[in-house]
Amino acid sequence: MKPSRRKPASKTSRKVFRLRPESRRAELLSLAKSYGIKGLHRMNKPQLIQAIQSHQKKSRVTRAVPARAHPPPAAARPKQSYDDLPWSYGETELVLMPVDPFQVYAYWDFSPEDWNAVLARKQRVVLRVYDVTMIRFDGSNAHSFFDVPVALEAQNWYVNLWSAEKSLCAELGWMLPDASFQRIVRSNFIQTPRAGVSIYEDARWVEIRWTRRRPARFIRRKRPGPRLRPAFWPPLEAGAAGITSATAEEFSSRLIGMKPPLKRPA
Amino acid sequence: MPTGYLSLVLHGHLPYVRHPEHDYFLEENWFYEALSDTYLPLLEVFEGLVEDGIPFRLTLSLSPTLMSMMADSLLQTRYLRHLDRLIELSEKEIRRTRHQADFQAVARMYHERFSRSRDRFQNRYRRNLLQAFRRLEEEGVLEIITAAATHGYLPLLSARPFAVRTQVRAAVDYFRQTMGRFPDGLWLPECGYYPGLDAVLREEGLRYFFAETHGLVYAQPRPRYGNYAPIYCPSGVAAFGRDLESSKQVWSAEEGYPGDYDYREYYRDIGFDLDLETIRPYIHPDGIRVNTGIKYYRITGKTEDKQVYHRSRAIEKAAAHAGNFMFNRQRQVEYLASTMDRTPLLVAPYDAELFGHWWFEGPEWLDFLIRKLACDQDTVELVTPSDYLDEFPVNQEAAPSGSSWGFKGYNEVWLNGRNDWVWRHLHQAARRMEEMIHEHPKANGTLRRAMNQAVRELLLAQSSDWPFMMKTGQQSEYAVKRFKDHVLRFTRLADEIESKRIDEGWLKELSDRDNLFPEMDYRRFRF
Repeated sequence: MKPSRRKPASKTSRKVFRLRPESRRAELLSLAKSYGIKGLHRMNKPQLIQAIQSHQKKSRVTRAVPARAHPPPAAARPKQSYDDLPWSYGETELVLMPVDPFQVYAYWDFSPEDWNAVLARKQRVVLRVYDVTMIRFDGSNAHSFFDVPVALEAQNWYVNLWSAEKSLCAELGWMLPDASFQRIVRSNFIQTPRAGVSIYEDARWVEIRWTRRRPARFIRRKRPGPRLRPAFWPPLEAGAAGITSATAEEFSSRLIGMKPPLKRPA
Repeated sequence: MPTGYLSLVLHGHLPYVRHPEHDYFLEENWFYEALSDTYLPLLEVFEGLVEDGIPFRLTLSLSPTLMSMMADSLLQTRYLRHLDRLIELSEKEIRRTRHQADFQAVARMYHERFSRSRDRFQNRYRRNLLQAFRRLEEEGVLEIITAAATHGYLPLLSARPFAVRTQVRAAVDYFRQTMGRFPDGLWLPECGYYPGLDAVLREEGLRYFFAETHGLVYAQPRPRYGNYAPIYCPSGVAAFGRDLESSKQVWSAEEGYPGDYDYREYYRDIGFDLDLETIRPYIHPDGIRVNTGIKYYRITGKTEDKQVYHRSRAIEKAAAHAGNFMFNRQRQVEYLASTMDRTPLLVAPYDAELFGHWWFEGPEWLDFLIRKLACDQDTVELVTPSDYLDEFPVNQEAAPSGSSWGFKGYNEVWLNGRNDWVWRHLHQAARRMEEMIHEHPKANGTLRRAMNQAVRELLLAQSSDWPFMMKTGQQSEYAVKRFKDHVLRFTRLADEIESKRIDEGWLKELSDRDNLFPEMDYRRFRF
């Protein structure tokens, strides 16, 4: 079991971009600054690019091998011993969990082959966190993203955020020398909680008449059904305003185009 | 017509601690102490109120693990043995304190208390407290609700929706099997809510749950009445928000009532104060000092020089505090009613163990409070959430915000540097269980028993108590051990099921040891 390394991430969103001649000097400056290159402001653009490239080369060469050698990847599920929990379950995954509105926690694991591959490759690994609030994420249409350098061997990381109430998704991947990003694994989607009162004030009133439930009916299904299905006994009778089962996402999307509030029944 | 409503909610929970493999097990004392200090006194209070014809309504949430322990015959027998030893100890204490009248009075009080507990437990309730609670519900004074099956912290389990649904469905099923009816409400462990959880509750036919204050106040759209009226979640389940003011007065050890100098001091126990030879037969067999439950001192003040406890003075204080609590609630609802166009509702949830265990005079305080509310005034009336919803079926629709009642109000207590490592194992195990259920949708004989036991081990590992204890550092070794044990037992069972080589002897041993939810059927968890 590894202790978690709590490391506050940089609070400024760092735009990562391809290193190309038409990049703006300001962008180059911020990248070079993040590498800790000295004497930036005296450099012109070609000098900056050169400095960044040489830093990237250097960091590739000097990047240390993981301090702790991992046990050889055993079978995906260890069968022989039940003395202690396994350090890896042999499945490549990245899971994101909200801690509070301004912090998320990520943990990851790889299959034995992937562990070998990622540890053999000496490249900078970052956790790229996407803001995907209210969009159907396809990998490129996020509102914004930022990168947090992580140590793969730690297997988990805490990431600080600067705004609450976001839908987030993360990817673990390599930062290539040309500053492009190569994904290893993508996480689940999470929603960070709200940190203050909602800006929406429109009130919608619903009447729900409750009827005492009948004894259970065990419904047997052959195959797993859709994730959300209507309740299989009707404890609720829809009132005048009507109500249907909806997920929170559906609900919040309903709010966006909300009609003027219904008149509250007397 | 009262000006405002007050809904008192007591939440009773203990992790499932049962170790038949040991003759004496330190952590089982949590359960015995909870019975002696909290549940038996509370039953006595409620029954007294019923006998005197005092009308009241109170909500009691009993977690399935606590209910299982109350129904377990081994723990019942051991509890009687525990009481016998305490009665013996208190007799010795009466003799030992014969030259100190003040102390002897306290010792006599304990002796009388333990003897009465034993008598009631054995003869009146026939060792089964669940039936006693059920009778009170039939009297129409209690509304009993359930909590997640093993008190799993749902917002963090939600990375695997299967885990959340299993927790909720197992709880509702167990409640139905023991209480003979559906629960109306469900206590979310640690008040932990995340957007979308209400849909899971709705699927199991639940009517309401409780959320932390900011869960409601931060709801979207902004609730017109704040947390002084419930809201309907998008799925139609009602959410009730905790009232901060009434909570603080009772919860807080410093500003709240339990810190009063006349009340009994919890942290001075003869298990630690007496010399080892005298107390040895009543503590851990290895000579580890433990709380015995006999405590002679009152809080006295911020000093180590404690004074002896005076029962009558403490009871008088409890009466005064009950009056003060009632007065404050009256002023609160009067103010709220002037700003609202409906009757305000104050929801005051507390840990049941606060009453009696941590705050020794808590049950008496509750007794005084209920009597005063019933007889002395008409401003505030006690209701349960169901009563309120029956009277006000029209409520605002809003989506509560993710929240919990832990420190800082979100998930940090259960997800921090000390306990974050548990979640990957829980998620992985939940996923494996889900796969196994899909692989074996209809199993019989040994395989079915193995599958059922695997669900039990999974549920036990998910208990929110383990990460909580790891965080606070108290009994964290035990928490780590229990967590690992259950995950490893689950893994071994899963491996055996996968390889179709189930060790029946071991399975039998396991199902005798971790024997909660006896009627559980894993096929209920095909979602």
